[in-house]
Amino acid sequence: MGLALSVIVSGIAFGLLIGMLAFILVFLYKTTGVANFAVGNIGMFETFIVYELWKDGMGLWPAAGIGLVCSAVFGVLIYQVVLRPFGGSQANTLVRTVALFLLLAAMADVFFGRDQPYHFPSLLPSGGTKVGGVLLRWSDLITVGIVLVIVTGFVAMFRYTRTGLQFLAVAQRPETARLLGVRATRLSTIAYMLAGCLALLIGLLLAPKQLLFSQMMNPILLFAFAAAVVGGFTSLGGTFVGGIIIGVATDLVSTYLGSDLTLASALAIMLLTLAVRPNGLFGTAQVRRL
Amino acid sequence: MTAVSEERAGAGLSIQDLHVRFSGARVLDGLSLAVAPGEIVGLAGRNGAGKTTTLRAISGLAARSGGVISLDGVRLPARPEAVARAGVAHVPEGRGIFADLTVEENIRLGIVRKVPAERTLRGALEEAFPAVVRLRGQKAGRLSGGEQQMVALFRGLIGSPRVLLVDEMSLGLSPRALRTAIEALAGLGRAHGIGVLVVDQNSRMLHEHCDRVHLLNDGRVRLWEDASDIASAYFA
Repeated sequence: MGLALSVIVSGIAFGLLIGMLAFILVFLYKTTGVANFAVGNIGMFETFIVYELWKDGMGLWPAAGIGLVCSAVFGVLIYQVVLRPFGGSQANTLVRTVALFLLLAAMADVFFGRDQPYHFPSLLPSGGTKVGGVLLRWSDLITVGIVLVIVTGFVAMFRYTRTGLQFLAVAQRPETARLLGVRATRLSTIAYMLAGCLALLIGLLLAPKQLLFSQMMNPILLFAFAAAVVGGFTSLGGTFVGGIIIGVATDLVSTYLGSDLTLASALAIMLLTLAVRPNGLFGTAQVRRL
Repeated sequence: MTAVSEERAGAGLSIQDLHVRFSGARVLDGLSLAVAPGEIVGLAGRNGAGKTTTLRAISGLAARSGGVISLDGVRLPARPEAVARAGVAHVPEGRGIFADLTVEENIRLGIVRKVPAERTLRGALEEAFPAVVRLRGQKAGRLSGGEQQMVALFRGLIGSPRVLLVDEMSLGLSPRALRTAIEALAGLGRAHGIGVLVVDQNSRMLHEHCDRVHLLNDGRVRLWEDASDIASAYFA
């Protein structure tokens, strides 16, 4: 029982990371019209930058700080240089995000050496504490805390700032938002800046657990996709619920049934959800009346 | 002296020789129209005559293939967000209400630019549309069609635009609600120097409340002076 509870706690922490990646996918989908699956590799590439700085003798925290600034710039560049020009249809942009996904993986192999994977140092303290026989790792608890702070920040932004309100407006009715003077390009740029920073954060939290290499984000990207679908692809809050469901379930499966089945179980949950609720758990929450 | 008269000539919204094509078909073909500050102008026409397209061309949502649209003598930009910032508010077809946001949030989105007149205007709007104040905290999607129309008009005016474009004014409104709404619109427009261009199929309502009514036909407009002359207006 103690083991199961410990697995569930670490599953929740992992699930919140999945949820955060799913949140980025849905956030970009809703504000820019395209779900950019390259964000996983954007985070991977940024984590490599932090790794290189650290390897050259810089402290881990300063390296992460510089990495965060680079990530904001990187996010803006990706939107302004790769996605915004050439305009085009959504399909066109979607294809470009796939190209970006592959390009970043290839570039990581070229720039950061072929002796991957690397061990990545953890920003968080090791060890943990026992509460009633259940092992709680500090890193898991801090991960939960970080995600809660970020979610609170986003909720506050949507509710109390003009930019946040404009994000919601663009997500619901892009055309009407423009009639109200909302500059969609500016908002998309901000969205990618935020996405770049969150992607680095995911990379920094994930790399110590599972080594740093160019394909490191592929499994969690699939989990995040499943989580976004389970939550209803248009619900921002649903992504975290979906993430926790996928995180806990896959952690339990890999502990008791073997790690070969983790990916299959995530996709099974996704298909099952779609069979029961075609719009996902929160996809129908939209009110509509004519 | 010359400067003053030039300014007067260019005040408000002016459309000259507007052309719009959809995949080759001429939807608007040399349309010219003006709305002076404080004036309420009606635009009538059959289904598919191009009424909505006219408003969308002004706002930049429909690409124009020719013509000049200017506001207070300055050419309007092409991008919708820039047009809005220049002082053109647009209540679009279907009202463009954000169903998942509250009424208050919908209205906050209408404050496109900071203007000193905002507080007096807000007071006047709250007086004209008391229902909107009462429903402030509700999700806009739960409102009735008429209430949503009030919110859309409130949101259009709160940003203190130079010109307000209203598409399908009567949509979803009871005759009484329509009368209240358009009287409020005309009164506020006159008091604050806001020009209003109202598109509707209900020509009788337009004739009753507007300073002028134009009829859109074959991609152009002409002044429609005799309100009773509906048959020749539509079937000429």
